[in-house]
Amino acid sequence: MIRWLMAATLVALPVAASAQGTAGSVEARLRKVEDELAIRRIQVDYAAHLDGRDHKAYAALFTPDGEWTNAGATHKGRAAIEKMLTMLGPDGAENKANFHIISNPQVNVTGDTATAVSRYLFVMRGKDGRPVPSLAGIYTDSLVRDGAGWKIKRRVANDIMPNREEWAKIIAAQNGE
Amino acid sequence: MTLPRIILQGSLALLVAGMGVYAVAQRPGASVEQRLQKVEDELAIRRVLVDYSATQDARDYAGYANLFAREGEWVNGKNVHKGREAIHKMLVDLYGPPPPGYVNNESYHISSNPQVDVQGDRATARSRHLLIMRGPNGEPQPALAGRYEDELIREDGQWKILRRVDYPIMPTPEEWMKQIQARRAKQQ
Repeated sequence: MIRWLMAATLVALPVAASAQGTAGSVEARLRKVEDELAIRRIQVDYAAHLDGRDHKAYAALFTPDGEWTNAGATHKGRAAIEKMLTMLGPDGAENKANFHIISNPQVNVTGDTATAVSRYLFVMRGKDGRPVPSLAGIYTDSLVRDGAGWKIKRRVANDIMPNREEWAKIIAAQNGE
Repeated sequence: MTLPRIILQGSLALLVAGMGVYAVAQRPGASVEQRLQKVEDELAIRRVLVDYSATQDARDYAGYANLFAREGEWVNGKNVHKGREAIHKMLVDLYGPPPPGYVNNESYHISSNPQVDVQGDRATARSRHLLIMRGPNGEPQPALAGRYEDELIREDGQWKILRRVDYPIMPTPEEWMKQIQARRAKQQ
């Protein structure tokens, strides 16, 4: 009986696996689901730590040699990434001036590495305190499984609306220059 | 009946009733494998919702059409496009053929509020979309908001859209056409 059950299981498994297009045991498939959810959480935690001015937690989302880059600059290593945030103000400062909406997550996990894409919409406090959509862009990430969990190996921030030149103009106008 | 016995029986009744609720929430008789499958299905369908926006925004017509089932249907009011070829053509008619290496820096769709319900090899999904367009100074401006109601089917092991109904809400289709015409007049 047990032998028969085992044989049936062996037959049934490949069918289920091919239906998903994912090879592997229930354990491996579960891990993939967990990985996707963990990486989605990093995408949101990134915004939460950035908007919450939690510099340490933000830097800790990266691998020790992790890299943050956009069209203007590259910051490599947690210390450099943490330092980058000081231009937003002091660590731990209350922030009611702006936040990021994170959307459209696309996560692709391959074993112990992953790539992920998400959209951000930066919302700023406008006239009379109204929330004003101010900057939209795309994050493109490569991630690695790093002992305890997933970490960002490289994040590319690509500002789209406005572009860098337009953004500089808007900020200059806000500063009354 | 002594008091403790009543309490005990009451507790047992509560316990049994509670377990019943718990069991229903956990789907009685569903194996770990089946429950895993359901979670995988939900994530796969959420991914279809996002890939839809991504391919549309990137003007990846083939990728977009491939999200639909062979008999897939796209519906908006009286406009119905059935089959991947017709859906592909709808995009060409709407946006024109994109130049090679096209990057869309002018607009994108936020896909939000997914509600996914899976029943075996069929599923339904609801979601919201918000079209963001580049404003006069490059700022992102919410331009069009609506809802999608989808029927999905597992076809060759992949979740595909069998029917997507697009319900524009803000602006209405009439208001939107006015805006498009005004924008075109400005460009000419």
